Order: sequence, then C-alpha cells, then structure tokens
Amino acid sequence: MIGIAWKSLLNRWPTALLAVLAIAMSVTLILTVEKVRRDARSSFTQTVSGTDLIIGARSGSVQLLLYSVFRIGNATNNISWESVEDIKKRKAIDWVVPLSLGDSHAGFRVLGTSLDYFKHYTYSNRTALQLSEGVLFDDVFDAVLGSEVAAELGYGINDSIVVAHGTGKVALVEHDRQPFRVSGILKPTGTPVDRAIHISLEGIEAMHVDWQNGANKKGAGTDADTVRNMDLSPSAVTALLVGLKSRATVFREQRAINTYRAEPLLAILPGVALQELWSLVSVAEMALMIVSVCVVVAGLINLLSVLLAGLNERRREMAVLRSAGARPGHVFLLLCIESAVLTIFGIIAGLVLHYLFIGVGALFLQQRFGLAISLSLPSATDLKILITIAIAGLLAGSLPALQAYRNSLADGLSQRL
Amino acid sequence: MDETTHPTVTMEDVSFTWPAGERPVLDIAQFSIAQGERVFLRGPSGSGKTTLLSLIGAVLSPQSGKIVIDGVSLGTLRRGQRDQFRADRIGLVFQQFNLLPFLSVSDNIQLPCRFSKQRKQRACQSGLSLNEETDRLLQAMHLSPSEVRNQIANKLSVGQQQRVAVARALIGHPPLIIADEPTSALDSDTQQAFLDLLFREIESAGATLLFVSHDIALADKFDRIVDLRELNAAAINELSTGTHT
Amino acid sequence: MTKRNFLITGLIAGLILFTSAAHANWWPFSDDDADAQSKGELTLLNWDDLIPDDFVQPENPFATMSQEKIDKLMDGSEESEAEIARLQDAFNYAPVVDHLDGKRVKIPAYITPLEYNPDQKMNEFLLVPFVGACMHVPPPPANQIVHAKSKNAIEQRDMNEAVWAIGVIRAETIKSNLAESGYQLEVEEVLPYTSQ
Repeated sequence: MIGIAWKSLLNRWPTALLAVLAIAMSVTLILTVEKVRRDARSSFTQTVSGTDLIIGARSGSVQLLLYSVFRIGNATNNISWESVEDIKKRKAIDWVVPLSLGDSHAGFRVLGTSLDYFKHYTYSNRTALQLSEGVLFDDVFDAVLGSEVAAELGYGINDSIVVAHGTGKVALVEHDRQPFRVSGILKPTGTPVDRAIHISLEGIEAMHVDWQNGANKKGAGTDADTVRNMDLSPSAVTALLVGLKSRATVFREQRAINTYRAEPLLAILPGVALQELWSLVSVAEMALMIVSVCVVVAGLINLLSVLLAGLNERRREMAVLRSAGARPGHVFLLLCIESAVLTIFGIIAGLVLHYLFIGVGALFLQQRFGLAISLSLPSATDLKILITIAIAGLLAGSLPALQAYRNSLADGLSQRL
Repeated sequence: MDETTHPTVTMEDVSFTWPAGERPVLDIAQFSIAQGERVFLRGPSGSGKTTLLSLIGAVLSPQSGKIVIDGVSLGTLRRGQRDQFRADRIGLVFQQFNLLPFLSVSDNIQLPCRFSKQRKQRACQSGLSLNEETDRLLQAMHLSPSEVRNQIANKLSVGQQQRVAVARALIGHPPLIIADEPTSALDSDTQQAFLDLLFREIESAGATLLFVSHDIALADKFDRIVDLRELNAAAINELSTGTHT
Repeated sequence: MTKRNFLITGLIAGLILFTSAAHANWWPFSDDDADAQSKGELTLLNWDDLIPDDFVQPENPFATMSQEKIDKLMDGSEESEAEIARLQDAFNYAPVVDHLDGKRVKIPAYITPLEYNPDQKMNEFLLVPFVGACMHVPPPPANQIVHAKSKNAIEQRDMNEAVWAIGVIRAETIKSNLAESGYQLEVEEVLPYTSQ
C-alpha cells in the first residue's frame, strides 16, 4: 500500500507539495521561536555566575542587571569611591570588583575594571576567564580585548586602539590623544565579555584627563607620559560585583547596602533580578508561542482540505482498487499513509529550514545582541513538539480516510460515477 | 465443458431488494454456470444487471436464497471474508477505468497479487517469477512487454488499456472472470480481436467467464446466451403488471 | 504485506525510543521520587524548629538608643566603629540547633536562586520562610536561612511559589571571621508545595 500511496501522491505533486510546504513553514516557525527563546535565556543565565551581589547607584534592579552585566542601557549615576571603600570594609564581604562603563570603541563597549575582575568574574557554572594570548593590563594604557572584538576588528597584540566617548557606533569625538595598546586577548566565552574592551580604572581616568568639563580640551592635550605620572586613582565607578564569604548572609548585606545613608545605592541578587527579567519577558514569549501554535494548526487544516478536496475525484481510483481486490480497510489505510507521508515530509522540510534560519540568523543575533545561538540537535521539548505535530497530522488524515472508507462501501464496484 | 466438476456459479431462490425499495429488483429461481463455461448475459440497463453482478461478485448480500461460487456459499462469509473471497477468486473487467492511471502497466497487472496471497501464489506456480508471468500475460494480449511494461497506464490507447485490464483480471488464475461491457468503449474492429484474445486465455487458464453486454452481435462464440429479462422474475412481474420500479 | 508490517513496527519502535530518550528531561524535578521514603527517616520541620528553644530574640540596640549615644557612635572614630560592629554582631547572633545536624528533613520554603547550570536549572539556592520581604523589619537572621545545593539541578520556578525541600541538613556553629553559623542542605529532592 505504501508504494501505491507514494505514487498516488507523486501523481498529484503540486497540491501535495503545497501541503508539505505549509506544514514545513509552521514547523520552522515553532522550532525557531522556541530555540531563540531558549538560547536567549541560556545566554543570559550563563553570563552571571559566582557573583553574590551587584551594586550600583539606586535605579531599578532589572536596569542595574542589564547595564552592569549585559551592557544594555546605561547607569543613571555613579558610586563614589568613598562608598566603595566603605563597602570593601564590611566583614561579610570577600571580594569586590569595580566596573566603570560609558566609553566605547567602534561600537564595542569599554569596561574599566581592576585585575580582580579576571580573578573573580565567572560565567556558565563557575568557569573563569582565560587569555588566549598576551597578558593582562600592566601599564595605564594597556587593554585586554574580548574574543569577538579582536576577531571582528582584526586586532592583534600591540595594536593601537583609540577609544571614543560615549557608546555610539561612530566615534564623533575620540580620546585620540591617549591611544591604548592591546596587551591581551581573551578566549571566547559566549557572553558579553567577548564584545568588551577591558582597561584598568586608571586607564579610564587617564582618558578623561582632558575632559574635565564634559568636552574635549582643545589643542594638543596632555601627552601619555605626563598622564602616567598623574594621580589616576578613580573617583567613582559605575557598578560593583561582590562576592561574600558566606552566601547565606546575602540578604543582610543587601539590606545594609540598600539602606546605606551616605549615598543612594542599590544591591541586587543576580539570580533574583534575572527571574524578574524573565517574568517581564514571559508575556511576550507566551504570545509568540500562541501565534506559532496557530500557524501549525493552519498548516494541518490545509493538509485536511487538500486530502478532502481530492476525495471526489479519486472515487474512481478507489473503485479500481476495490475491483482489484482491495477491502474498504485498505482504502482507509491508503489515505492514512498519504497524510502520514505528507506530515512527515513537512516536518523534515521544516527541520531543514529551521537549521538554515538558525545558521544564517545566528551571526546576526550574535553581533546585534551578543546572544549565542548555536546549531544543536533538537532538544527534548523540540522532539515533543514534533511528535505532537506528527500525531496531529495522522489524526487529521484519519478524517478524509474515514470518508473515503464510507464512500468505498457505498460505491461498491460501481463504475458509473 | 464437462460437468464432472462442480459448477462455478450456483444461484437458488435468490431475491434482492434495495433497502429503500418496496419490491425486489431481482428474483431468480435458478441460475448456474458450469466450470469453464462461457456465458453471455444480455440485458438492457436497468434490468438489474449491475445488481446481479454485485451479488455474484459478493459485494451485495441477497435477502433470501443461496449463492455458491466455486464451492463456497457466500451466505456463510462475513463481509471482510467476502471481500477477501472476491480478491482471491474473481477477476473483474469493466467497460472503462479499469486501471490506476498513475501506476505502470506491470504494477496495474500485479495489483490483485498485493491483495490476495492465493493469487500471488498461483501466479508463480508454474515456476515463473511475478514479473515473468506479467510479461507472459502481456504477450498473450498481443502487447509487447518490453515496450509497454513500464509505461504509465494512462499513456496507452483505450484498446490497449482494456487488454491490460484483462491481463490484470487473469493474473493468478482466478476461477471466475466477470466482464461487464468490456468492449463497449472499443471500436468494432478491435472488439472481435479483443474477444478472441480473451477466449484464448480463459480457455488455457480453465476459467469460467460471465460476460455481460447489450450487443448481441458479439454473442456467437459463447457457449450460452442468457437474457436477464427472462431470468429475473421480478423483471417479468414488472412487465406483466406494467409497473416500473 | 510483510514489508508494510516491518515499516510500521519500525516506526512504532522509533517513536518509543524517542519518547524514552526524551523522558529524562520531561520530569520537572528529580527523576526517582519512587522510594524517597526508603532512604531513612524523614523529619518534617517548621521554621520555628530551626531556632533553639532557649533562644531569646535580641532587640535592635539602635531602636532604643538615645540620640546622644547614636551621635557618639557615628563620630567615625575607630572605637565607635568597633562598638558598632560589636552591637551588630550581638544583634545578628543567630545560633543554630546543633542536634539537627545530619538529619534527613523535609521543610517548606521559598527559593532564592543563586547559581544556574548550562541548562538553566538551579543547582544552588537559598531556602527562606517568606518571599518579597517587606522593609519594616530586617531580613531573616542566619538561623532562618538554609543554603541549599542540589546535585540534580532543579527547574526554574516562579519565586512566589512555595516548595517542599527534602534532604540532609547540616547545622554548623562556626566562630571565625571567615564564615557564619548557618544551615546547609544537601538537596535530595524538591517538590511543589501542597498543604498536608
């Protein structure tokens, strides 16, 4: 029967192809939406690990998380260095890593930080940052590049970078009097670290030596050596990453910092802030999911209509089969096989299209949003979805099959149709 | 056609009424076909021809009476068994649309073997493979196997298609062949040639033929001519009472 | 006929294989909740049980202090800093119930996530008696927080949903500068909360 079903479908290939395409598109949509959603979440979740608290000027917790770790958005205010020193003194605190944001180079953000950043910052289940070549910063004007920065801009060790003010893509105003030198390049991490340029806090201060009133000083400016010898201790930072000696003290420390009298600060637990972010996003995710499911249903309805519409023309075909010895059950089976073939081909075509989309789109998403979407085997949820679609297709096919069965019973061997 | 073996078809006191009908469409006291006999059944449309064929072909069941085909009483079979019985023991040829247009000629001929293990076995019993038997039948129908075997069925002429239909009905040596107006779509030149081919193959297979047609001119080679209007008591009653079903 | 049957059997077998392979990921929490009972006695805990019976809750020293004293403490001198630290330590003193150490327990709690694994499941989290703390009172003291680690990472849940946490509890009284007394849980299983 499978041979007959196959040849019958081939005979009607235009309609069959359309039915397959409809299912394929819906499968692609639902798989791609699910994958992007899952990988985006994973990408975000992997970026933060091993940090107990993140501290910034008082704004909102999701906002703080976004700008400090994911480099999305901006801080409203800074943390004064006095407060940083106070926080460092707290008994429960093990380590503090300061972050200073606000400058960029060719669209990549510049992060001012201490060497402790490379010691304490971990991602993806406590994996530490590692250099692929070169060394961490030593001189005021040294810079360590994330792997994406080096790859996209083609930089190597000892290359010179000019940092621009602000985070715009095109540098309209640059700190060109104090260019930086690439001292090291990090290994890829799949996090926003890859797209950042790391310099020392002193380096940030050095850059802004001529910017005291918010605009670049005209003229030759202060040269690099003079700058090196100036007092470059930082006066403020944008955010702090904090590690505690005992994780159970996190609530108390958070409360203490939130109620700190000297300056309005905000301390967040990264895990909790992440959950808040997801609950914001979940409504959109749900909407997308519903749309995808509707598209799948539309594809199956199309399959149903293709099979039903052909039934009348095929009554003669069924009668021929019956006169050759087929039972009504065989006719039922024939149509079930046809719908199964169409559904399965639709699913396979959908999978192929899905991988094509991901392959092409991954690069775009990585560059635009820093999201790491990778080509991988279908997950358990994906398989569940595909099996559900397959079963639904089979069930949908049983309706025209049943109709054909009844038709063939009624028609008998009659040829006068 | 000796009658030392049992008759292929026997009908006794058969009466059939459609579910919505008030009176029987068919009422046959006695009708039988001996093994190897070639019967020409004549009757205009509306005389109950199709119904009779459906009864003999085990598609319909009579309300009363007994039908025995090849030694098996149809009344003892359930519907599924009747379908299998028809697949195993009856070959059918219709006026037109006998073949699946999207299958090749050889696939079409071998169709009954897909649905009946018996026929598949009998087709190969002379030691030939299924494909070889198919070729043999094609040759018997005066069709060149190498040319025609893999052709898609709807590319053939009507005459060729009818001959392929006969080959399909004959494969696996079913004991009974029912042909319902098989020549009506052919032109008069081909009709006689077709009949000759049909007879030759049926004789060599030892099968029984029930041939239905309205064209009495074809009847001279047959062993017996039966007029349905004389056989069917229901039709006689209609004629005599002047009522029309 | 047999070719068809073979294909159908193959399809069904393939379906079963797929389903069972994906099976492990379909269960929200850990996979063998079959004989949780057979691993030993299970003690049902209340949050009160984590506070020693003879413990008297301290009062916030700053709440009843006179303005004079507060001003003196805030003068920034090292002496005052030390005094503030001492007062805070006394206030934060939250002893644990030692005899709970090593027991297999079941406690109702809310989860605060700490660490995620690459599959976005939690493998380290805090168990607390309430969520969404109001700002009127301090956050829970050290003997009302359980630091949980789970070998089988658990699914993310809404933080406002309560759970039953089952595992072996450790109660440590540490007197050093590096760590604080507290409870830890080696998580065996986490189940959705149902009142029993």
